[in-house]
Amino acid sequence: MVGKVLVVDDEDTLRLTIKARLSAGGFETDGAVDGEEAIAKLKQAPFDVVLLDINMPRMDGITALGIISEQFPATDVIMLTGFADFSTAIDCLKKGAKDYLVKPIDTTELITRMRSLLRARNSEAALDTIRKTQASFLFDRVVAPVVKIYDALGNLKKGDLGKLSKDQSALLTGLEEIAETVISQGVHGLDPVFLGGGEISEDRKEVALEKVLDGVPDLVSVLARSKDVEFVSHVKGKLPKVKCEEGRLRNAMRSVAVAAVGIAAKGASVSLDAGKDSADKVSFILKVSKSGDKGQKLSDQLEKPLESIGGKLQKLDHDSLLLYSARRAFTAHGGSLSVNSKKGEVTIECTVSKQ
Amino acid sequence: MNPDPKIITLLYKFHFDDGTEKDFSIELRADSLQLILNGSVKKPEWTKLKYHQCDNCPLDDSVEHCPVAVNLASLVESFQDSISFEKTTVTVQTKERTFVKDTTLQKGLSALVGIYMVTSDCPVMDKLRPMVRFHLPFATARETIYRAVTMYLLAQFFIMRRGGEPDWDMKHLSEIYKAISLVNHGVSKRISNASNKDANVNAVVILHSVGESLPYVIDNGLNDIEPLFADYIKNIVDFNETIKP
Repeated sequence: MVGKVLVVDDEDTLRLTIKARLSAGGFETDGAVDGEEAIAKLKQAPFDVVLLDINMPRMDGITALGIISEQFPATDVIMLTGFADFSTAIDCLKKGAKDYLVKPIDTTELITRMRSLLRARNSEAALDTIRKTQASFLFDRVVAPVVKIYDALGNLKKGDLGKLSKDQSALLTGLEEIAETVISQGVHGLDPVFLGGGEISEDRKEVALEKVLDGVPDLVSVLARSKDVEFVSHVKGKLPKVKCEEGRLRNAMRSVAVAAVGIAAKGASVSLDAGKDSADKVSFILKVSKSGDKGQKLSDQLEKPLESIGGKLQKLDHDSLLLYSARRAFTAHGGSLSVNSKKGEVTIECTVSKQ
Repeated sequence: MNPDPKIITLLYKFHFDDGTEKDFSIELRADSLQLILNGSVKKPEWTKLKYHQCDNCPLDDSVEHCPVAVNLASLVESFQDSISFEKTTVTVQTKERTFVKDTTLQKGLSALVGIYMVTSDCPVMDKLRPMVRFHLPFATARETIYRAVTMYLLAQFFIMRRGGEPDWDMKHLSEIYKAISLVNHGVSKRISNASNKDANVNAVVILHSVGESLPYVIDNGLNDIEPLFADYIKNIVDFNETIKP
């Protein structure tokens, strides 16, 4: 099967003969008598290409093209018309049509054009996958971990974990600068449009969630101590098992913990708790008692989808970067990450699907 | 209806929802199936042979007007502002029977356009002339393909009877239809420039789509139609069984 094509034409002879020729050419085909039926069929199943007549009753091809371009951007549209009109052709191409053919159509030429269109789609899709994989790798595996390193270096440099010698301090400053450069360059080279929902195909294993939380309370305790913040973990006993990318989920939990401490004000308390265990999801809740305006800022920043931020990615603070990366990991595991701030008190809830 | 037995008459009536009607009386010479053009024949600019002349046109420069275009001129003018999917009731009267169908204008027109094209004396379209004698209004693609194939095989029978080399594999029929496709392309360009809406062009497009699919149907061995001939095929097998040693 070369591709799936929806032939939309009110004239049954034309629709059926095009379908027959495309089927003989190896395409999987279906037909629709007008724009309305075409949209209904697209809602039921995806199509690679729609061959769309312009003059049809009920809903014409131009109206249908607008809807398809908006609601089904992954579907390519080739317009068909019996009436050669260049202004209409240009209008259709502006509205997102990939091609414009004047009837009567030479079906051999149509098949050739369809094949090259699908080849281009496949190449584009392959390129898109590479871009997404690279962007995800850069964001989740380079930028987010280096942000954590940078923050930890900052804590060390301040002497929160013990007094430093002049040499040690100079060394940490050097490392901090390197980390800062990596973060800045990494963020600069990222186009969030290619980040997608965080779905990276890695081997998933069934792991008990307490194993995923391994080291998280220790990390939070150290960071909290350095900021004069109290940390309490209420997570006790056995937690359910989930099928997950263990390392990725652990990193996400650590990112959330680092961000929670990052926004905590001096003297605040941070608590980690397992939420109510529902039939299909497990949740963790981190509560920060006092955050000043940092909590609200974080909550506001995370309201926007990452891909909509575009070039403003550089303006995000470190805690937001960490939570965006963590959210991608939880989303990829059928869950979510939300931040709610109320009068400085912040609740970060992360969920993971049990499936 | 012309009572002259030497004339075949086809009367096409288009009745529209708004109560209007358009009639077209087609008169053909019974012996030659040539269209009889009554009254003054309109020959607008787009009927000139050189105007979007078909790529495979065999006519030379001594011919001023495209015969297909001249035959279609009045019809095209009548429907130049009509939309292809406009609903209409088409009645086709012949001496023998009357056909009635609620259909779209493009579908009704395509049958009429087909007659005008085939009876025009265009050397490419001439091969389909016998089909006009057995005209089937509102034919489906399958019916048209059946009629085209049977017409062609009957022609081969006549060739064989006269000592010629029949083309039972119908190789040349595919060639004929490929040539007709080029004429359909040329005619549609002419009509498109002579119309403001798409009804006329789409009528040609429908004819084209059936014609264009015919070579592929033949290449596939007419698999769709063969099961209808099961009894004939079975008899061949029975015959082979009886002559086995």
